[in-house]
Amino acid sequence: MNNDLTTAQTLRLLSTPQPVAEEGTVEWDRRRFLRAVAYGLGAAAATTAVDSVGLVNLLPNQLRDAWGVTPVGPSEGILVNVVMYGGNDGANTLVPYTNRDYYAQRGALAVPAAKVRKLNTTVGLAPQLPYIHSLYNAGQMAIVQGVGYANPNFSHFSSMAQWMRGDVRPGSPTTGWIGRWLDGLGTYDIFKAATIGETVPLHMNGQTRRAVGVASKAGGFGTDTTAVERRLYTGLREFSKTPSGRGRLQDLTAATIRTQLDVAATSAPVYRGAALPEAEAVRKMTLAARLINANLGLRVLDLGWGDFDTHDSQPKMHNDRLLEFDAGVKAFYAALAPGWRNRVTMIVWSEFGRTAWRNGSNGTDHGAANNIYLFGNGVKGGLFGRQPVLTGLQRWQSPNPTVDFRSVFATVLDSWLGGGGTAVTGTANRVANLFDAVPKP
Amino acid sequence: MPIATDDLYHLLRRTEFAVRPARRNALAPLTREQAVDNIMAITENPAMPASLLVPNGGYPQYQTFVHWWLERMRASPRPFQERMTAFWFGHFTSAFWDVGHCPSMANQNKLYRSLALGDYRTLTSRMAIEPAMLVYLDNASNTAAETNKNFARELMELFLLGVGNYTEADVGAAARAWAGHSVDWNTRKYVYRANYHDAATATWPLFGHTAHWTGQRMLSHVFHTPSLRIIAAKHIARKLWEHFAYPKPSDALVTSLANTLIGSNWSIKALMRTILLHPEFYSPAAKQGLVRTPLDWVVSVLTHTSSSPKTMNPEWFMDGMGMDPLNPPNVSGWRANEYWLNSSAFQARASFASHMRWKLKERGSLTWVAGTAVPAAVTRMCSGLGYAPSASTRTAMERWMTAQRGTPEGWAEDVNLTMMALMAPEMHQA
Repeated sequence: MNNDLTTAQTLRLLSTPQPVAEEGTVEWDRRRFLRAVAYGLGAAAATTAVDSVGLVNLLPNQLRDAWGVTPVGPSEGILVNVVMYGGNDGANTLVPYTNRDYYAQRGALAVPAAKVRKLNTTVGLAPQLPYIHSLYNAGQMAIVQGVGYANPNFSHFSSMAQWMRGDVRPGSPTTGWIGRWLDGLGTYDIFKAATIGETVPLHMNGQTRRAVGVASKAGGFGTDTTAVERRLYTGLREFSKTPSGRGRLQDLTAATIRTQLDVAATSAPVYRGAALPEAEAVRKMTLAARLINANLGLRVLDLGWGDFDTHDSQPKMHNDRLLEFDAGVKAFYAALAPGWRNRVTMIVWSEFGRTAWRNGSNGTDHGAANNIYLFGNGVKGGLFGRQPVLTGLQRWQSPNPTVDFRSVFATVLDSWLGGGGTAVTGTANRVANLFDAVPKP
Repeated sequence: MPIATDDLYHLLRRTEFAVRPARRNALAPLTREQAVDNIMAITENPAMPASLLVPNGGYPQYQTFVHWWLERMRASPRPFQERMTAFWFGHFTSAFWDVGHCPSMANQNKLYRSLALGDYRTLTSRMAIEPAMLVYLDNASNTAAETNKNFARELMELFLLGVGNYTEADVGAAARAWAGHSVDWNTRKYVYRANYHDAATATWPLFGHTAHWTGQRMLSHVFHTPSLRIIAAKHIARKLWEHFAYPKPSDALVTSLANTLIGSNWSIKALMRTILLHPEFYSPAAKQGLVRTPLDWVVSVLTHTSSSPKTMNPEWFMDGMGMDPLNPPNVSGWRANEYWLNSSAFQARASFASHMRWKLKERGSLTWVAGTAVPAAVTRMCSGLGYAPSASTRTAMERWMTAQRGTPEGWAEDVNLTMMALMAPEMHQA
């Protein structure tokens, strides 16, 4: 255990004075170590892990017993957070097919009423969403309409920052809503939250904790099981053994190298088996399901794709994005082991919507009042909020939002992730009855 | 007094990607001021490869572009020229695959290079009507009757002024002002379409008076009005400081840099000279203030191993590191530091390092390792890559190498020592 002191010192060093988002400074816990061994990482890497967790004298049968531990508790919910980057056109996803203003303003971009997958007498889903439509019909999809925030900012950067931050106070954002939820977790290790992709977005960064990044493609460094490569991994991991004395960023880099090896070894199995789909959204959603199946302890899986910024050539571009959306959700549920279905909720959002009017380039510009889509056995199927009012809008205007996005995030945190909604988002408002079940085995 | 060695290494890493021995030796006897002037003494105006100037070349053309540019970063006499060109590309962004026309991207690259240290006002007004930009941010199809505000918004928010310094109405007014600057969709050449523009006068909230606004007139107004030009000058001065020194400089520092820029008639060269000679640039906060971006790291690896991008194909890995050099993730470009430090991005860095170790072995560059004493081998490998290892890095490398030496897999010693050194945390610091 003598290494723990050094690790604690490193942690403290990295945590002050600035609030640091630090991935990878948390040691492997016992369970993780056991799993790594189970995945065939074996002796050399294990030696380092043994040093850090004090499991020197574990016998094989004890290992086997320990594998039986269930990392995610039976009543703990898992959230899959999906971001449509660029500003998805909500009106062409959930179409107000009896609204004359919609057809007048959208012109050629409007979805013809005959093609709409009708949900009731006023709105319906875009024709590209057959699988999602079936989930709605099965009561496993909730749509919150008219979501946004007051005095909306129409810059991608600023509005995305607001949503990621889960907060609308002024000032530059440094933490995000899921990150702050991680900060509040009683027990923590590096496998509580992961972003599938090359960079970890703001919403996954907390004051002291941060999601890990999981590569969206297979074959990465760190998964070899030969003795010589395992020896190399041990060496690379030791860069972070003691502080370098060369500043916070260098120590954070060393910690990242170590985390990379931990994540690669632990997540290796999810890339095996059936070939991963090529389309980004479908690939990432498939990986999300496999990571849940792997039972690594992950409570939040984050992914995103785009581009939804349909300023021009909207018909083809939005058609492609919606097809990916439908295929991605379908792939997710196809890959998710049935035993998890009662414990997973997926939330899908975008930094803003589009203008009600079509612009001059066969596209739409940045607008407000969009939909949030939720999927899962726990959500109460149906429509929430209300359709934006389009009457009288000028070309450059957007309808007013009627539901604060923070109240949706807070509802998800409280109803599905065990609480923290008000502390994280600063709002006491909730979307009533958005969930009709709690996570269960 | 000659520049301190530590300061020189820092200066070269930040301005020339890496510490090339020839450059280090040439600059070592110079004063700090002379060294900075030497780094900024750019005389070349290289031609782009002719193969980039024809449309529809697909992925091979993209590769040619990346290889040519990375080779310039690695091997041109003054890599600072390319470092600045890359900065401008990360600021006035476009994306190769979005624009979908290699000659447009090549011409934009050439513009950023030729004005890299020029007049900021000229650079801004030229980039706005460059076909790559007109297509990337849709101003090519922006008309006064049906405005497309994409370019107008990013011009005010990201390029020129920054969030909070304009209103939504200003964005609308700017979109009308810029309407008309377009491209011929067959040739992708710049064309002015008068029928897209509304010649009527308009009141611009930000400027507070009524006039017939055009795009260039708007820029000229920003650069001439004292209350606006200081905002514009601070916006770009802050971004340059953060790119070359460290994040979040004090407002006092940014204001003084902005006044330097305005006082020099918007000379980027004068501003950069002030930044690179600023005492704060040599502070510990600056020396430990930046992580190498994937581009910085890749170019430093290529430089120190004398490898051409064409033989090493870093473009296969850079997207995974989070930085395809011709395709920023969005219009706001790339961020810094923690943005790069995550496990999946480092998996891609490790994959490239792994690719490099075998290439270097194949080339016969690692034969010296066998038989060299452990501490000496570690020292030589690290100094060859331009850094002196910290005690913790040295300990990790020596412990690994000692353990490795006692095994039957002797063939792996040189490649894995290379791997350790390429991935050491020092190698990832700018």
